Parts: sequence; C-alpha cells; structure tokens
Amino acid sequence: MTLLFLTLFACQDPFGSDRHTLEGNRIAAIEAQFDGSVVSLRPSLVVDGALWSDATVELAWSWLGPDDNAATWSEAANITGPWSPLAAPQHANRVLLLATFPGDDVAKRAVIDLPSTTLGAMVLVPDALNLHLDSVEAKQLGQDQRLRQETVAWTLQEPGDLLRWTAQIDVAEDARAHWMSTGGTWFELAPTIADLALGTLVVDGDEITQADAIEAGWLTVLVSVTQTGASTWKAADLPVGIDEVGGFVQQRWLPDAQLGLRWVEFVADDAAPMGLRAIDQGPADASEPDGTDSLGCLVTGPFSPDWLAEGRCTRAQIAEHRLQVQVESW
Amino acid sequence: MVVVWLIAALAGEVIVRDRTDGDPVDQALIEVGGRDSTTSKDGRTSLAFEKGDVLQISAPGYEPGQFTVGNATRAKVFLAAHPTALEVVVEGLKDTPNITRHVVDAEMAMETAGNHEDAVRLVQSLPGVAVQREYAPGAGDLVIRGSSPGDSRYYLDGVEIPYLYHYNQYASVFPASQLDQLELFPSAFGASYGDSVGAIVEARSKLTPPESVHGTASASFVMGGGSVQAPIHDEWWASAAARRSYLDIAGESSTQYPRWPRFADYNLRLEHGDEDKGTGLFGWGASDGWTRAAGELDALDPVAADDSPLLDFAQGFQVLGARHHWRQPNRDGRLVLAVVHHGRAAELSAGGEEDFQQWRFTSRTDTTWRINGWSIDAGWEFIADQSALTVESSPNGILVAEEAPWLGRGQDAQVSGWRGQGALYSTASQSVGNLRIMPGLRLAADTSDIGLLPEPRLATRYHISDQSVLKLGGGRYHQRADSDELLVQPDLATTGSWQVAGGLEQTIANRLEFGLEGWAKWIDHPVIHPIDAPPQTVEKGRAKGMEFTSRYRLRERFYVWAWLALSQSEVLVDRAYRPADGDQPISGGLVGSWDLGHWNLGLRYRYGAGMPWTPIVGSVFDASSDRWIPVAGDDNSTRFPAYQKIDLRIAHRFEFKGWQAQVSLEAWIVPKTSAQLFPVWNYDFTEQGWVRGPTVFPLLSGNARF
Repeated sequence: MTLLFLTLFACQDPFGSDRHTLEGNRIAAIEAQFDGSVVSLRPSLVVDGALWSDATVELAWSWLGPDDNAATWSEAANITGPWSPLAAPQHANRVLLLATFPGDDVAKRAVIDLPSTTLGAMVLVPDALNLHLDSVEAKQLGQDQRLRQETVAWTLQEPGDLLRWTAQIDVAEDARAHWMSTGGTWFELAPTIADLALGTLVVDGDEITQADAIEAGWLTVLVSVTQTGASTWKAADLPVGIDEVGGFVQQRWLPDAQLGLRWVEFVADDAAPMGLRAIDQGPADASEPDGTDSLGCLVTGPFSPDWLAEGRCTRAQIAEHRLQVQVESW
Repeated sequence: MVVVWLIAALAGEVIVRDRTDGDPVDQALIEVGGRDSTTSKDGRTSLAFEKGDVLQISAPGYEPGQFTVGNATRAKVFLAAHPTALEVVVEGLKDTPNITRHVVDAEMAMETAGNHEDAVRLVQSLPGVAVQREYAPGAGDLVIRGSSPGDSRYYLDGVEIPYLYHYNQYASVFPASQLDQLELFPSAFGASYGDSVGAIVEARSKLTPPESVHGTASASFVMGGGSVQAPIHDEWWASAAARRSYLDIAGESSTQYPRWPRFADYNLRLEHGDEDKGTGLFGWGASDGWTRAAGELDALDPVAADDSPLLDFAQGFQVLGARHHWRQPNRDGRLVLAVVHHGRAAELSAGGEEDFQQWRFTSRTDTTWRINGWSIDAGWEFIADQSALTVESSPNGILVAEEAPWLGRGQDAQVSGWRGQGALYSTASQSVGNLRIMPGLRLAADTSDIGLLPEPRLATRYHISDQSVLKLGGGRYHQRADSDELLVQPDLATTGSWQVAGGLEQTIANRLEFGLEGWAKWIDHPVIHPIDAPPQTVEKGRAKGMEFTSRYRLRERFYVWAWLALSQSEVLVDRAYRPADGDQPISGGLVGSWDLGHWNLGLRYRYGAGMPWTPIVGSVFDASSDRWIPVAGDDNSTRFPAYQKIDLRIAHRFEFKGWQAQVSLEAWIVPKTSAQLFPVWNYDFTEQGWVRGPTVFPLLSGNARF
C-alpha cells in the first residue's frame, strides 16, 4: 500500500551485498534429483567467496515433515557430512541442511522440497554482446532492447564487455535460472538466459549512474536452475582480460592443465578459480585406477571440481595428490 | 465585519444570526431611513423597507454591518462576533459517563497544521492516541491507549463505519466539511457503547439548517471535492458532499501501478428540522480501487518481475439510513436505522482471490431524561449482518496481505452466515453534594457466543470547586471478533477487559484547562492478527498509563493544546509478558492555531517513542525456490526509533462578495532519525536497512466557500 508513496517520495539506502555476488559463506544452491528410488542432494557451498575451502564445512541433513519448522529444528541429524543417496521416509516432504562454515559459530540453514524427478546435465554457454560499459546506454539495457541484441561466439572478453549466458538444459516451463558470479552485474533476460556486464553497472531509471569495469582475472559463474520437482546447479570459469595456459574441467579452469584424460598432480594456488593448479602431468587410461583411494574423501572417478563445491573434499585433501582429470578446451 | 450571504426583501422581516453557529442574535438594532427596530430573542424583527434600502445593523458583541435590500420580503443578516467578545471554549468539567472525552470540531479539523482538513487525522493529535510514522504501513490505524486498531470502534452519526481511511492514510472516508464535531473516548467509556475493548470515536454531522444555499470546494495534493447545503422548503434542507482522488487522472500508470489508486466518497442528506428536533435521511459511502504488482518490481530481476502477479483490488461501503433526534430541556435522544454494505475484493492475476461481502442492518437508540436532578441515559443497539467470505489462497498471498488479509493468511475458505448482536444499556446520574455518581449497566448478547454479557460501568465526578473536578470510573468491556473471522474460526474466544480511569480536571480563570489522568486495563483473551496466520487469542493483556493535557481556545481566533502521555501495554504469551503492538511508552505534542484576520498560522509538533516490532534474526535458504525465508525473532522485541514531526501551516483567506477562498501552504519537517518508515532487508536477511520518507515536504491546498 505504501508503494505509491515510495514511488513518489521515499528512498532506501543501498545494501552492501547482492544476491548475484558470490561472496562470504553461503549455501548457494542445492541440486535435488529423484531417480525413482533414492533422493540425491548436492549442495553448492561458497566459502569466503570461493567454491572451495581448505577447511571442512560441517554438513548435517535432516528429514522434515510438513509440520516441522526448518528455522528452529534442532534434533539430531539423520546424515552428517556429504549426502548419501537414500530413500525418503514416508513422513518427510523436505530436507533440512545445516552447514557450519569455517569460522562461523552458527550454522546456515537451507531446506529443499523432496524431488520427484531428475534433470539432465547442464552446460553454460557464454556469447558476446556488442556492448561495452563505456558506451552502453540505459535504454539498451531494457529487456525488450536486449532481446533484440545479436550475439557472437565469445573469445577473449575484456573488462567492461557484456556477455550473454545461456543455461542449456532440458527443463519444464516453470524452470528459472538464478545467476551468481564473483563479479559483474547481472541482467536477467529469460528464464534460463541472462546478460552479464563485466563491471559494476548501476541503472537508475533512464540514467546509468555507475559503470566501472572489473579488474582482469578469472570470473566464476554459478547458476542454479529450479523447477517443480527438481533442481540443479552448474559452475563455470571465464577469463576476463587474461590469456593463460591451461584447460577446463567441467567448465572450471585448471591452470597449466593439458587437454585430454591426464594424470595430474594438484598443488594449491589461491589465484586459480578452483584454488588448484596442475603440475607433473601425463597421459592416463580410463581403465586404470583413478587414484581417489588415496584421498581422505569419499569420491570416485576422474577429478571433478564439484567435489570441492559440494564440500565432499577440501582443497587440502586434493592438493599434493595425483588424480585422473578429463581436461577440455571449454 | 459582516458576511452577508443572502436573501433580500421588500417589507417585513429582518433576521439576524450569528455567523459562526447560526444562533439568533438578540438586541440587534436595525436602522434604515430614520426608522429602527430591535430583534427579539429569536433574532427577528419587523421593519418597513424597500428594495435598494441599506440596512445598518449593530448588536452588542458583534461587528456592525450593513445589508442592501433586494427583491425578497425578508432580510437575513449574519454578524461576526466582535474581537473583544471571543468565546472561550471549555470542553472539560462536563459530567458525562465517559471518564475521558476529547472533542474536536470542524474548525480544528480545517485549521490544524498537518491535518489536511481531515477530522479523523486530527484524532491522531489527541492524548492517548499513539503517534505513528505518517505514511508508513499501518500509520492510518488508530492505536489508542495501547489497544490494537481493531479494538476500537468508529461511528458516524451512530453508524459504525467499516474502515476509516482511503488508500492507506491519504484521506479519511468522510469529509470534514460535513462534520460538526468528533469525540474520542479513549477507554473506560460509558454504557452507551460496547463491543469494544479499545476506544470509541464518534463523529457527528452538522445539523444546523442552512439559511441559504452555500457550499465549499476544495483541492489538496490528493483529492478534490465540494459540498453544498441548501434550504428546500419549510424546514426541509439538503446537504451533499463528494470527493474524489485524482492521482489516476494526473499521473501516468506505471508497471508497479498499472491502475493508480482511485478513491472517492460522498455524503448525501435530506433533513427536516434543526439541532433541536429533526429527521434525516442519509446516504454515504466510500470506494477505493487500484491495480498493482504484488511484488516490489524494483527489487526483482526483470524475469521475476515479469512473473510477478497483479493484484486487482476494490473495496467500498455504502450506508443508507434514517435518523430522528430531539433535544428538549428535560429529554433528548436519537434513533438511527441504517443498512450498511461493505465489500472487499482482491484478485491475483496468477490465481488466488479474496472476496468479502457484508450486509449489515444496524439500529440504535440513545435517550436521556432529566427529572428532579436525575439524569437517565437509556438505549439499545441491534445489529444483524449477513457475511460471506470466499478465499482461494495463493503462494503470493503474503505479498498482498495488507489489502487482502485472508490471502496473506494462506487459508482457503468459502463460508457465509448471519450474526446478530444486541445490547441494552442504561446509565443513571445523580449528584450527592458535590459528587456526581453515574452507574451504568450494559447487557450485550451475540449469536456467535453463548450467554448474556453483563457490563457494569461506573463514572464518578467530584466537583472540588466550580473549576476543579476529580473523576474516577471504569467497568467491564467485551468484544467479539469480526464476522469474517468468526465465520472461519467460530471458536475464537470473546475478549474481555476490566478498565479503570481517573484523574483531575482543572480550569484556571474559566479559560485554561488542565487534566491529569491515569488509566489501566486488564484484558483476557486479546486477539492478535499475525500477517501470515489466522487470528488467534493469547492469554492476557494489560495496559496502564498516565496523561497530562492542557488546552486553551478562543473560538474562531486561537487554540492551543498540549499533551504528554506515558503508557505501557503488554500481552502475555507463553507465560511471559511482551510489549503489545500498540505499546508506546511516551508520546506528546503541541497543536496551535492563530487566526489573524485573513491570515492563519498553525503549528503542530508530535513526539512518539518507537513502537515495537519483531526483528528478523536469520533466514533459511529455500533451495527449491531460490529464496530466503526470514526467521523472526521474539515478538515485538525491538523498537522503531522515536518519531518526531513538525507541521507548519500558513493560510490566507481571500474574501469576495458572497464567497471566500483560502489557500494554505504547509510544510512538514521530520528529523532524519524519524524519517525511517519501515525496515527492509537484503536478499538473505543478513542486512537490515530502512525506507526513508522525505525530511522536509511542502504541501499546497486550497478551498473556497460561498
């Protein structure tokens, strides 16, 4: 009711945080799938703004019934640590996740409805827009105007460029993508498409009041896709104004990695988007043992960046180990 | 000076009336062509005159004037009181069964700064009424002596009105131009009112018959309208007033408001007689409507904004009724019959609707007999309503809970039913020496509850001197929930309350009034209204407070009042008392208006300690919808910052032959710390900020009278 008054006269102080920005500690998304028998849940954990951590994020999962209050639930968890695929008990319709991040006293809480279906794999596709912070006008950022903008395949993006991201996934009509990144400004365009300005871009009505390009470096993008009955997420790294040697592992950047299925020894690198760098590489054969036996975390198969993002493994558990990795050009 | 409104004459009668109240002017001397005559007590006299004659009129205590005779056979002249004969208005010291009684009238409604010619808004400047942040959510609600807004009843000419304000707080639903006076009984009121554990606000329409056609036109930053009163024939006269907002005409629609708020009200009356005896038919009503995006689009991303449903909202009420009143030396009274239709419809474009329709027949009789020092008030009240509520809930309902409370509660319903309420009351009043004792009893019944609810009331006033009165009173009060709430939850308990109030009224030199009063309430089963859950009763409530008031008034020249109120209001939940929604530990203010001929200066200052609210202490991330669900802390465990507001007003009156116009410029000044309207949070509720209103704001308005 007060909206009219606010529209005319009132104002509001801006907040220091934005839901699109990957910063601090938070549960950014949870993938929920149901294959007909068991429920699979995968959180995406942001620790100090990154999708990896040297310290363990303590996870505790509980089944919740319709009358259970997720805000005050304090009974013993049904599962601690990473989720194990399980059949849901009859009384449950939701799952509560308590995640205690390193340095935090209070656990962060997330709930998710029990899934009823599965979603396929998701690929993030960036395309370049012929727009730049230096020259873009506010009217070009309207939804209709952006829909008419043509895109070209991305190459090396510079700070201040605008990109279009598409979450390629087979989803239902009610699906929505929720975009987050370590920098830049998001402008959603369609349920699974959004534009990203590589900088801080503030629009006030018909006027652009701030347009500052981000610094060159790596940008991590995380998208969560939710629809009735299932959800999933996907992360990708994008070079901005830099040209490094390396390769992508499931769209996440691994510096110095060579393409193909390789044996790689990981070392910690805070400047790398995954917190890891590849050294001492060699060709690998899929029939060989994958090397995960020596890890202190329950994972199998070639290295996946999601092990870090899900909290299955800390970076410290991966570093100094030699694992199989499938490295690709994107 | 003289204001001459009408009628000319040939030969015969001259009528002289007081310009302010229309009372006859006795001993007025009329001179024309060497002839003269003096009015009698009825303000009339006979005198030969011809068309074109200029009558010279003078009367003790009045400004002299003159009148040019036209074609009519009667000359009617209105005289303005002489500046040295100002009327001092003393509202206190009256022996009424209502222990606390505050009165405001049309003059104060029109001239108080910050009031925007709004009688109901003026109530918010009275002692005991919480000082709230204007234009913040809920600011239009009257929180009186710690009670919740729904605890109080609001009447116009004895008929309860369904809602007080158009579109939040922009204007009240009846124009001040039609009002004679408005009374507030903050608590411990007499037996003539019931079904309320809060306060009573009763507005009364003007009953003075117009001597000629006259009217008003007004325009403010929100609404424009006009009124007209006219004699018809014999003792018949009519009054009509209508107002309409023009935001929807002047402003372009926006994505947030595809249909701008549009609100209107009207007041039609056909009367026979005057203040002493009369019968009237009345019809009045109000309507509000708008279409808005349910979510705040600025806070949503473009895709989510596209998905945000639209709320189509309309509400209104219509009243059709009849009233008969009489006033004689030994008895007076009124009989009111009315049919009230109240409708409220809210529909969300993405599914979900709430529709409430109520037909209410209401009647009440209030009589007073004065015999041999006794004064007996007696009357009855009967209400029958037929209500129907349909709710198709929606996940977006919480976004529109302010307009559609049942959508906010997320509860489907399709219920209808009738309800009857009745009450008989009587109050006897007798003096024993200097002590006036006024015991009363109200017997109430409600078809939604079993049993008869006896409500004993008592008011006593001890006249220490002709300028000092000690008073003490109280009684038992009950209140049933609203009909729509009872249809959904018929087992909601009846709220009961014991109330007491007492204090001292002191007048100095028959001019300056002081009052010091204490009050207390003990409430069982108070109803609370969570925004996201059905209404529920809690165990107990209690409130107490103290008020100091002072006022001084010279009618049509100057008035000032000041007050300071201390109070505490709590409810018992889970065996612990916590602040009630209406808890305001301290409030105070100063209101003044000074008429300097054609200029009027006004000032209003209000201070109110911060009202309590429930903080958000955390959040739960709902990964299925990618939203954060707020986690509320302890109820009412934090408070808004204190609120202060200064309103300044300067008005100039332009007088022309037969009509006058007034232009007023107002400015409000709010300290920055008081400009917070309501809290807002960031996406995951880890940061809290404020939406702030302007600290300085000018307003221009104008009106004309003929």
